[in-house]
Amino acid sequence: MKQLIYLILVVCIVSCNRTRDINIPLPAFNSQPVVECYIEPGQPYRLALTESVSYFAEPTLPIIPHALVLITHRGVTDTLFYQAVPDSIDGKAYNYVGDTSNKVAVDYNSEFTLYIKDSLGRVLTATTTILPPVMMDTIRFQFNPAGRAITIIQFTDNLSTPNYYRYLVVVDPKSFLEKGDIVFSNEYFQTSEEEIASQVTVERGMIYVTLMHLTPEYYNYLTSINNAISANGNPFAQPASIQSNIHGGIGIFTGLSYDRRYVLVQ
Amino acid sequence: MKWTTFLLFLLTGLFAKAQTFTIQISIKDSKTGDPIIGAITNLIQQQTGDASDANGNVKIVAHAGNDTLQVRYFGYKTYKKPIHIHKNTLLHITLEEDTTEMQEVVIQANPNSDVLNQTQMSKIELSSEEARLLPALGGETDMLKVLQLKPGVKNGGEGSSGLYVRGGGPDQNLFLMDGAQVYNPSHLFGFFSIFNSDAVKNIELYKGDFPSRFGGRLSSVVDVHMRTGDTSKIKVRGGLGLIASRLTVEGPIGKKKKGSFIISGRRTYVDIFTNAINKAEVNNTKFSPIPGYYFGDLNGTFEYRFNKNNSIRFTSYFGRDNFTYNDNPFQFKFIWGNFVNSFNWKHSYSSRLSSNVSLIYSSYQYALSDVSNGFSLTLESSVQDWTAKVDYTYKLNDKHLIEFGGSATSHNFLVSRLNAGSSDGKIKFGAGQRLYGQEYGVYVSDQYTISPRLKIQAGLRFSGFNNHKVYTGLEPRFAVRYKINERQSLKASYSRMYQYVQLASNSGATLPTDIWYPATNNVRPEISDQVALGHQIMLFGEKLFLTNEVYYKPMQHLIDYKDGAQLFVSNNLESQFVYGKGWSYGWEFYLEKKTGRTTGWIGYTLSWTWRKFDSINNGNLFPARYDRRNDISIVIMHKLSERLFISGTWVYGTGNAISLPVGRILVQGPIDSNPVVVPIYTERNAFRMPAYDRMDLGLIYKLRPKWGEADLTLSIYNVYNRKNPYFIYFQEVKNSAGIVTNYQAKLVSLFPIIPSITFNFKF
Repeated sequence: MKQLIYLILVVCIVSCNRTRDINIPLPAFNSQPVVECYIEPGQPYRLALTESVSYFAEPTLPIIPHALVLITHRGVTDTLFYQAVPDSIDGKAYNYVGDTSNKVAVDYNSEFTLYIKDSLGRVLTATTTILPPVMMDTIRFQFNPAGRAITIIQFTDNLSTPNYYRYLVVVDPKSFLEKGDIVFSNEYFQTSEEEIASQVTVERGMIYVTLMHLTPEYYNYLTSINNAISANGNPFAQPASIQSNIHGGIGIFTGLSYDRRYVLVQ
Repeated sequence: MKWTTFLLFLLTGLFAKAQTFTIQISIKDSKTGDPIIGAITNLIQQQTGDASDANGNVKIVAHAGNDTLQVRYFGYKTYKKPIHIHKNTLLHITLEEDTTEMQEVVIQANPNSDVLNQTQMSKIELSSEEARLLPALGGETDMLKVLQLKPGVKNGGEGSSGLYVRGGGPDQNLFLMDGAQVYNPSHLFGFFSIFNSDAVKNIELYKGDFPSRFGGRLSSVVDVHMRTGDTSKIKVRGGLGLIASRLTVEGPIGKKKKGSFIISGRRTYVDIFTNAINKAEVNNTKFSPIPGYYFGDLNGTFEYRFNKNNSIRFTSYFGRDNFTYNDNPFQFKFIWGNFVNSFNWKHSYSSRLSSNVSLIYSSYQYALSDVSNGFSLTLESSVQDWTAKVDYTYKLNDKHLIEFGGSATSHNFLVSRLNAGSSDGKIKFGAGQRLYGQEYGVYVSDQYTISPRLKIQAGLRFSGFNNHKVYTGLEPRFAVRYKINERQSLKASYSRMYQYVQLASNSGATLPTDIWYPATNNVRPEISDQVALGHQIMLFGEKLFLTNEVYYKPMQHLIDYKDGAQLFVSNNLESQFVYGKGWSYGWEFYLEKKTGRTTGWIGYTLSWTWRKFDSINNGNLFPARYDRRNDISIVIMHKLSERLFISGTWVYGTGNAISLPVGRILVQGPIDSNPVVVPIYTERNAFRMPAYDRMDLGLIYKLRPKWGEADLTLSIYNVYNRKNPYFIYFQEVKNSAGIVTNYQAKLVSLFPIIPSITFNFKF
């Protein structure tokens, strides 16, 4: 809702067409390694390792090659190997991949540890767990007069503990069109049986509906990057720093747990 | 026998000379009955006197004998009559307007000599007449924006009526309307103030040296005095402008005309046109509806004088902003506003002792609702106050003026009450808090004239707040004036202030969704200490008046918000707070010309404002967002003829501090999510906006209708159409294939050149 008010105000302001280019000299920027790694049961270990850059640098993605990347779980250490051609799955690219025959086991609430050392001697570490997925009990649709529908899911939440979720509604996972993407916690839930509606509408047809059960670190990371993105271009917002669980760098190392359905909108 | 007679005569004369009496004078406008503030009243032979206070009252302690009483005020004929002083006396004097003096422009009530005599420093006075002479945004006179042209008072950005006084934030200003606190003094997200210039008599802004009767805010007191209605006959005045129109009706109450009323209303009407356009295009599927917005004010003041010792006054204000956006199935509504009421009873016990008792109700609320696609959400916050206060003034003798009193306020806060759910009732969730607090204060102060050169004002305020935890504070107030000669004075002051209610705002601007939050077990009251030194001098006779002041103000227990703070919806808002310190210091230069056909002022401020929070900026010192090193304002008003008046303002300020990203990363996200470029922010407020520079011009042309008075007021805002900075953001630059090729910083400006014309009338 805050974004809505800010959006309306900013649109009103910007629509006056009083915008011009300006030169902002930025100070010297110290690049840091950026990690993106989602541990997913049934999938091999995959990790993206890149660099942060000065804001006005070339729009390329500097990758970090030939780093030592290790993930340890229950005393067993797996090495992720550098891929000169990134491994692309579902539109995502990872430049470090583990043994593809060695899939992540279903092992909830046990610790995974990440260790990275690059050729410049920079060391990064992180830990995470995989939470058990929270299953969607029902998926239903509510149509508006224009024939488009919001997607409403119902699920059961454990009110006795803080829980964090990400709810996604997409037509084509590989497209960059607007997707339903809501990040929330159970802080304001009043019952354990909860329903959430997407903020986008979809036409009749097939869609993917996903409910992710997030670790607290991943929830903090997602909200912080959303806040940082919102602060750019918003005259009413304070800046936000990225809350990362990577020691020695930026990014996220998290277990990924979700319930994903391919359903017909009807 | 001759010796006996002589001795008797001598003793009688000596005895008579030793006796002093108090002359209490009430000074009012002969036509309107308005009290005249700052009228210079003196006994010519005894060379003693004072200026009238906010109620138009003045007390002079004089020796018995014959003298001449003189009362002077610019724009009025001088009152001068012999007086025989032989007992305590109460006089009611009315002054007649002197139209022959209108060849000169009068811009301030208190003449310079009176300002030199006072211990009071760091104070600005602004009358509505003065404010109306200056060009205004959209032709809508805004007294708070005129205050921003004075040194030491900054705005929060282009078009904002928020006040940032000596390094303090917008929540550190105590706004009073006839003594009643106003929580949000702005309309339209800060672009206009709620104070209708037709309803306001004058504003007194204290930047420091706070009188002991005030408390509760760290940085300023904005004391708004509302007009009293005309006691002679019914009068109507108003204005038709491009943005809003105003109407005021005033007149006497009762056959004996012992009372008066004044009712003022104001409303914008852009929404009438936008609603008509939306209605006409309702069947056009390609048409995007225009948001609707309006604001309205209603002020009323009723006063009745029972006798010379008793009068009552009731002031009420109701204001609302209403923003709507309907684009089926999306319906959004946002309303906010103040409701303020003040009942006041003035009583004179004697010529030396008087009291002022007030009962006040004040509330501010906002409510936001959104309905779309079968899902609804409402969010509201409010604050309600009930206040009782009493103030006494006691003139002990001609050297001591004592003030004392107390106040008690009961606060009721509703913080972020959220209700959301689906229209079929299957989805439901909520949040919010209700908090209470009792705030109180007692004070005493003495204005002591030690000698003709040396005068001090010493006071002490004891304040407290109770919200399951009791906080108390002693607030010393001290001021001294040393008169070097008849033309110049040195002044110094010290004030400690406590603030028990803070504004929770995660924005760089005052927004209606900002939430007032009380001190609690975890949230301590904010404290400021301010010392100020000043020098004032009259130049070229009394034609120019130069004031230089320096100040230093450290602040404790300031509140800011942790990164990513959730202020909009929370069951425990204070878990989002972080605590730290602040410092502000600076120099203010103010040169003013008050009389003649050409009047105006030059103001310059050099200032620094710092903050330090352990949880922000790695605990390092950083400048506040509204830290602006240099501010200049030049205001000129000139009477060309009896019918033509022109004015101009020029403001220049070096850039505000802002936070900009210095780096970026790409986050592709897991399955089903879109990749995003995420900015990296490092140091807080490490960058500066470009300088701000603007000129406005105004022209008033008086018409001569048979039915009354009228004028056309032309204002041109931003005469040279400068694209002044409002905010900066970074944007992707894409080629025709939609591929990002570059990143570019963009500067957004708000207002271009805006001419406006207003028709004002009075009959």
